[in-house]
Amino acid sequence: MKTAISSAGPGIESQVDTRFGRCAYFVIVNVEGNEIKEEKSIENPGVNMPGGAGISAAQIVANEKVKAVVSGNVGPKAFYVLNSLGIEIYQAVPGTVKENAEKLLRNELQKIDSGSGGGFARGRGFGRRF
Amino acid sequence: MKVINVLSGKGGTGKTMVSSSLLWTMSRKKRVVGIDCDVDAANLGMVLGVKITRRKEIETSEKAFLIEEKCTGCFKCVDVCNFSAIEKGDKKPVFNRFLCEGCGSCELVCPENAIEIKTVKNAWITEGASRYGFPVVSGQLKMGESGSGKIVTEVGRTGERVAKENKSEIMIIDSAAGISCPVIASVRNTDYVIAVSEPTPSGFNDLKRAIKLVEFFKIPCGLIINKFDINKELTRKIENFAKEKGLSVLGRIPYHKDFVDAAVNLKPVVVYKKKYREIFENIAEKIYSWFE
Amino acid sequence: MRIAVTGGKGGTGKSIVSTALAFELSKKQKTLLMDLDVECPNDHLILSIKREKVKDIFQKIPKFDFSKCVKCGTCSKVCKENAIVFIEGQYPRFIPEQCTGCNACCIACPTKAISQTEKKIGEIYYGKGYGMDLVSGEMVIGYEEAGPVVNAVKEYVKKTEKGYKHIIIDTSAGTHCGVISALMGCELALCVTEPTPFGKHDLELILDLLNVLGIPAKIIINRSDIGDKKLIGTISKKYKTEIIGEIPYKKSILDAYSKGVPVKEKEIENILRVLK
Repeated sequence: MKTAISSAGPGIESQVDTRFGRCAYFVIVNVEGNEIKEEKSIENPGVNMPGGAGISAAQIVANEKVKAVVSGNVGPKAFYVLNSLGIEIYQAVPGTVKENAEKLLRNELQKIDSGSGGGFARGRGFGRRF
Repeated sequence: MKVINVLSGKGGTGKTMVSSSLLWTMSRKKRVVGIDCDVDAANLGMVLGVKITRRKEIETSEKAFLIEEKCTGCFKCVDVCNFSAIEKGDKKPVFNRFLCEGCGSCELVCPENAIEIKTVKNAWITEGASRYGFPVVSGQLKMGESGSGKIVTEVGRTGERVAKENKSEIMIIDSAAGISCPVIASVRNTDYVIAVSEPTPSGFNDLKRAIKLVEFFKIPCGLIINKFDINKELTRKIENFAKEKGLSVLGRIPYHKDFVDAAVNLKPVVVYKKKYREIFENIAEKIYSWFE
Repeated sequence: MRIAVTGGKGGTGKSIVSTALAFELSKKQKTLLMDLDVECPNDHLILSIKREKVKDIFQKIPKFDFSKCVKCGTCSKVCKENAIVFIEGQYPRFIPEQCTGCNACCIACPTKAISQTEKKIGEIYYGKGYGMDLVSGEMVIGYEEAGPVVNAVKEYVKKTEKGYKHIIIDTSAGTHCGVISALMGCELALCVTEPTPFGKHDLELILDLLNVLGIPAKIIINRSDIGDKKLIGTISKKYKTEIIGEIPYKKSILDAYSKGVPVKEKEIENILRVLK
């Protein structure tokens, strides 16, 4: 499964960046069977964008034909775009891109599937408490 | 680093008072950075006595400009502008720069290529250290300029860089009043929101609207009731509302002339009068425990 | 006369002054109070006036006819708000929340596959009380631009405004697009401020703006007895702008405010006398 992971730098050893729209890079990896193949790193122009960075980021990763995104704070608009394209979103955990990809391989990352409603201030579902 | 956003909906409920006092309180135990996102009227730096060390002019807005000699006066641009920013002049269109959004519709429709969209310098971003040592970043829109939401994003980015340089553990953002673009831009990407309210019908009403916004972004939120003693019944209602929404009440602040005097003397109230320190220390503790 | 009540800083008492002025004026002449603080309209609360919704406010947004679309991506390229997502080989996707209704995509589309439709961005309310009419605009939460909502309320009032002797416009805080739209067309702006360094700082910003817009200004100092009035005095001199009223801090004002009745104080009458 081709996956985009938001990161602070290029390459699979970089730390993940939990911001989706304004991360520095997207590392594209292919997670298949027992293997993680690094494909490439793309600089994210959204980091300098005045507005709509999340949407722009969604467009960038979608054009790479990824099937999943591993990130933290995916805003409602970016969520809508990714969702409508059938791209799955997984909650990143602190660590490197590689560690996150391995966790994804082992099915240990939490899938985010609520872009709206529910869970507010009831001690669950913020999806960003680390 | 944890990012705390102080907002209120209604203006003048005490956001800057809360932000400055909380910054000072937290700075005694942690490395903090203050961000003033009230780009229409930036006041946080004034209370904290910031000595500006860096000032940057930025361009986040675009506007349409007419190239007079190319224009034939067909006025197609006037019809196409959805922001009423172009009016029919005697021979040529007249552009109102305050209403122009820089969207480029007029540029696209102009048969003579007589319109160009150019970026304009519309704001200042300043960095400096407060008289209490910690760094503060402020944004200030130039007069009559638009695009405050985008400037807030820019202030936030500068703030992040400064935070990194200073290895800050806590960032406190003082938001603008209201719930429109500048506030939305500053609420994004925060870990915790402090809503400051006051027990007046409008204070309560605006709080509800602000909370809806916070719910929309699903950010954990706590409440501070300022001037809680001017109408205890409404304070009770606000607290019931907080309970209903699952928000914790972080603190209640009384109404006293000390707060005005502190403002006139340009000092955080906790520096001006020691007796208010306990309130803010408790608020700080409650927020730390949320982060743990 | 069309008078705006503004001031730069939030919480200086714009709404209290607007409602009190409208209340006094409406005793003798037909008066309209327009609450154009569309992010958080409050004047109806201060006056305990029951409002009724009279109109929804819409903004233009594009409508795509995919049968004409050739998937060229031009619409996405011209959109400065990132409101149109284009993925190679697919039809464009539209994000309505991001759209400001500029129509650029519609103009740029080479196959005329985009037409205009509407989305709701706000509501207009109408109410009556204390002999005055109240119109207020309210922005849909999550929508980002106050300006278009303000303009729509002004447009709505246009047909009936000739019937009023006075129109008082309550603006929001700051100097952003919503405030500018509310100020445009006013004959006078009353700047309500407070005698603190913040009040002073923000007053300068709004006076600069009014100067550029060519709207004459007057200053009202609220809570004039707590703080330092000299701060505002220097601004009054610097901008050659008269201070036409001072409202002291009074428990009776706070009580009226927190109970939802208009403030009736002699200071407000004094302001009116100066205005006349």
